[in-house]
Amino acid sequence: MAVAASTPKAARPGRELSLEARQARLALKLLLPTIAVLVIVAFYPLARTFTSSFTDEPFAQPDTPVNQVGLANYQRLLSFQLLLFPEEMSLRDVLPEPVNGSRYQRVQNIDLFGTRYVLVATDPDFITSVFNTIIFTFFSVTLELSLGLLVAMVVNARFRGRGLMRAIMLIPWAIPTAISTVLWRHMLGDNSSGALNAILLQLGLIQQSQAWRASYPLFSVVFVDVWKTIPFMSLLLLAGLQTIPGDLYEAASVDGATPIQRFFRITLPLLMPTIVIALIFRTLDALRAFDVFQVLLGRSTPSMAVYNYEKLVSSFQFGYASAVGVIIFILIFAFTVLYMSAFGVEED
Amino acid sequence: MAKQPVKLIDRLGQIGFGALVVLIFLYTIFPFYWALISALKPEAELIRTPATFFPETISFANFEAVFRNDKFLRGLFNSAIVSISVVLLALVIGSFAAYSLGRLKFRGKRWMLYLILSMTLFPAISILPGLFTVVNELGLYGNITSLMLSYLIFTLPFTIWVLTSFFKGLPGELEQAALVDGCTPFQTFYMILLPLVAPALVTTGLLAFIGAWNEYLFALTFTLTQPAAQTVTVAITNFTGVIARNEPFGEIMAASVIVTVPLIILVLIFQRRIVQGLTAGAVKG
Repeated sequence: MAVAASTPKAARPGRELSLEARQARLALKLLLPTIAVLVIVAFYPLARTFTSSFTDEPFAQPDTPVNQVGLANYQRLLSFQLLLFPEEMSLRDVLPEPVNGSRYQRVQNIDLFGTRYVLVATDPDFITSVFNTIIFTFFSVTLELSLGLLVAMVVNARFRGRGLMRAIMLIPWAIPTAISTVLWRHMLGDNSSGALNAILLQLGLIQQSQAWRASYPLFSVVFVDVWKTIPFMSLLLLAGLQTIPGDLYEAASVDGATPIQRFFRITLPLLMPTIVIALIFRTLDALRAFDVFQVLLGRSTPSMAVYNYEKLVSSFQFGYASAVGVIIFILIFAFTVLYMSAFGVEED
Repeated sequence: MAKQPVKLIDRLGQIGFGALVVLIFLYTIFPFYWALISALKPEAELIRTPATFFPETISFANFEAVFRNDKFLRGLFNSAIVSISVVLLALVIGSFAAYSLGRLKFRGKRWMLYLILSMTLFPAISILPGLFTVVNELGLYGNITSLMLSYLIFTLPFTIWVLTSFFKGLPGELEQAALVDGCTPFQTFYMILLPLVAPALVTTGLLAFIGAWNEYLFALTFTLTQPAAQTVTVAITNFTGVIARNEPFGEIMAASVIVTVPLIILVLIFQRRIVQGLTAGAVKG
């Protein structure tokens, strides 16, 4: 580093002059453990993931020879096409040529305005996991943001027991996601020994018990994530609400603004920076969701992260799993850049 | 005459607001209530349909069984050791870095700070394969040391970020006075400035503890074939009970309650600090 190079020159006699150099030297020394940790647990693993994503390296089998396969892993993961699929044709007629020996398979039929299409991919499970993750991210973040704002405004108002309420709201955040998902797995049980079925039956909202996790997997996982995250979201937004000066509202009231006008003209614009930051953090969290998917749904409805984990640990495909990891990394990076430029957020 | 409807609307608004507060409260708290009563229900009542909302008989059999479950106890112990070590490591390493970034002058500081901030957005899943290699190469697979090390990836950047802003906020006169009195910069750091940021150390330590205690992905992957090194989150999700049954819900609920209660107490005591710490990163007030 430039800092170290300039040290000998500055280390002349004369205390005043050497002070800065000494500071720089101390700074570097104090930062060394951090740099070492970041290299060991972040940069080296990331580089290792990148390089092995171009190989067919297996998992935990050091004696197997490793071959460079170039972009083959990525081609297999990312090859997908939406094809016209007329009723009178069979799937075999419309499937495109294989990519590097891996054949296209059906992901899903899609009906659009009376015309039938079929989505095909060389790795249908990965494409499915991408869609699962995107649907999950969209619904969970939207719900968390809107309901979180509602809750934040409620606990920003003055009422008895407000302090207790704010403390209680931290609890879902503080509980391990894996464990609260275990609780919900039980509560979303298939028959009426599960809490959700029991409550909805009692209220007459459903006629018979539903197998929530099997029939509505993405709904279930959004439901659990929303429960877990609304409180955290509202505490973030609450902190933002508290920075809005109260006299703004008073002035608006004097001028005859309705509560709805006050919300859209004062609260929302002034809260925007906080909302944007919350949005970024939550989107990135949702895109890499693992715990809630893995514990609630297992392999049946994987997120991208669960798919990555399964490829690594169950299928022993180290190189292939690495490629999935790199794709997730790039996706998250792209989202960050997109958000930052869309909202013009200063990194501070 | 005109006064009456306004009052009525006010009254209705108040009732609606009260109902909303109660609803939010119930929604937040219900799963814990459910876990607790499920843990206290005897086997037969637990699988009854429809479920009872108030247990008819209370039994502590599930709690007793959980405390006889070696895997669970082992998990609790491992989680405690890992979490405490991670907190200590993150605070020591983090406060060094934060002092350096917050108070010392050197080139490349801004760059370093952004690098550390970018780490907080790092997707753990993306580096899982590479990190597994590191763990293996260091011979740490199936050993809780692998978790102590890997958990620093999410605790350290956050700790540094929050502590740096605290160090920056301290008045400069203190340091100058200490330097004049003949303290070295390092002495100034640990004898004068560190005690002043103690509240921030408590906050970041708490957040690091909760983060480490709650981690699941690394714990699952790095202890896959080594049950002795599993943490409590992994132990609970793979629970096979002492009382033989396919999925021992009662025991799982009892175990979840036991793991949850210390966190609830911690959160209730340190509520204010935790909120400050959480929002310090997101809302620059």
